[in-house]
Amino acid sequence: MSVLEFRAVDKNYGRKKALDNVDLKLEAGQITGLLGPNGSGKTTMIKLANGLLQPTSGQILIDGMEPCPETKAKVAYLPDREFLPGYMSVERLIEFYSDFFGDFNHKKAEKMLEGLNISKSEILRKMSKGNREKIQLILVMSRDARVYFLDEPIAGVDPAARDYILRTIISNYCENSLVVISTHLIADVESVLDDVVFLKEGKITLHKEADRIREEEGKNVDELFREVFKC
Amino acid sequence: MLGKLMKHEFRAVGRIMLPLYGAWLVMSVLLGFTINLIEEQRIVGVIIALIYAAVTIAVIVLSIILIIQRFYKNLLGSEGYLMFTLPVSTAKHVWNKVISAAVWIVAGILMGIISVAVIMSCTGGIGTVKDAIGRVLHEITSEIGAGNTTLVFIELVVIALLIAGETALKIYASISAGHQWSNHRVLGAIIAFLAFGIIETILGNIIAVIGNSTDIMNRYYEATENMSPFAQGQLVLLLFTLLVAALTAVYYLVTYKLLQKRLNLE
Repeated sequence: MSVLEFRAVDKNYGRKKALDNVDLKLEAGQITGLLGPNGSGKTTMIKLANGLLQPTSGQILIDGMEPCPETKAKVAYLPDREFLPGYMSVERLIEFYSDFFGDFNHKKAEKMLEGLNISKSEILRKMSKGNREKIQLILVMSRDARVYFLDEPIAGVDPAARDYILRTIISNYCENSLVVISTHLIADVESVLDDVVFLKEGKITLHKEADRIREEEGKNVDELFREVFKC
Repeated sequence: MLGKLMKHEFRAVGRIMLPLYGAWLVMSVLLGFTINLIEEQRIVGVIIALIYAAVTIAVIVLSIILIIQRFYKNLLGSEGYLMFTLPVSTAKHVWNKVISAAVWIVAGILMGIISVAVIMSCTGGIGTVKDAIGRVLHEITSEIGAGNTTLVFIELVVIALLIAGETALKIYASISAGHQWSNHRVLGAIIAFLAFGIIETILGNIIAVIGNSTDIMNRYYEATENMSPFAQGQLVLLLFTLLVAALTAVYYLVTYKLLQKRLNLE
């Protein structure tokens, strides 16, 4: 059984078609890049898998179950925006996460925080934007989840932060879990991807292992992306 | 999980309301001690009375704003991305907000009563008030008995909580309905709130017409004729409670269905 499965999923916003008959199966133990230009449906797919949207038709399954409280308990989600209550301190946020998520790993959180020089009594709203984004990532990656959805985790951050984020992702996921990273900044994430999905105007146009793309196409994922999505 | 939601909800509201309640009590004490000064030291008394009024208004306004904001911002704003990905059912999210709103509304009313009591004690007028309340209570008790007085008191608290919950759910249903209109969410919520009010009025009128055009009211009077005044009062209270409960159920279902099936965060 796949960890994440989309079965003939359509999603319309009014008359606009955001996803068109999407079929996709992803397995544990890999980092998958969900790649496509802005508006291609990446965020819609991730929101559907998190139960934040309902499909117009079709089915989304996580470990064989449609999104529900049980699947939410094993899905860790980093949205493409700031989503934590700004008045909370780091300490309160950790308490919040461990109250609700049984898979929250305090040791992992402590270790990541140590490297950041952020005091636990600091209020989220009073931090720099970069630190706020790191706190979000740390909370999400501190979970021992089955699936991690990271929506545009490296958009709008400086190259040093980009490295930090990718390192954090790689060093915190295990063989039992699936990581889905959505982004349009291919070059920066290419080195960490095992598996690649291209999404174009709501349709999946390619799903292949990154190594096979390089072998069979004779070019790297970034080059192929530029070719496929040429304007 | 509902318990955990409520814990964090009470912290979020409490961090604003509890200091405000504190300020209200302090101002009540000050007002109580200076209210008699108004004749001699007019300015001090008036200023304190004004601050007291301002704090009172702040408590009322913030209670309402927080009911709206804790739903609109925490569930349907960017924090919704956190809340709706917790392993918690939509029903629990709605109940968490309703219970919290009802409790804070009733807490506000109790604080108001306490505030008045504090002012009265400070001015020394509490004795007269106590006597008056005591006399009223005594009269009621001698009429319907001590057990029934307690019963009525409990019923009133329950009904107050129910009305508070119904009001909050009407607001939540309006916000959820307005949320469907992606570009004008606030306007949509206001229109939905007014529309719910109009529907309630129309339904009320229809029921009144039915009551007047059939002999249902006569039959009700006949059936209750031989009951004691206390039992009649209880029956009216029960019917009223059922009406409020029905409205609560309708607004709950509207809110629940919209959040469950048609959630669309920005």
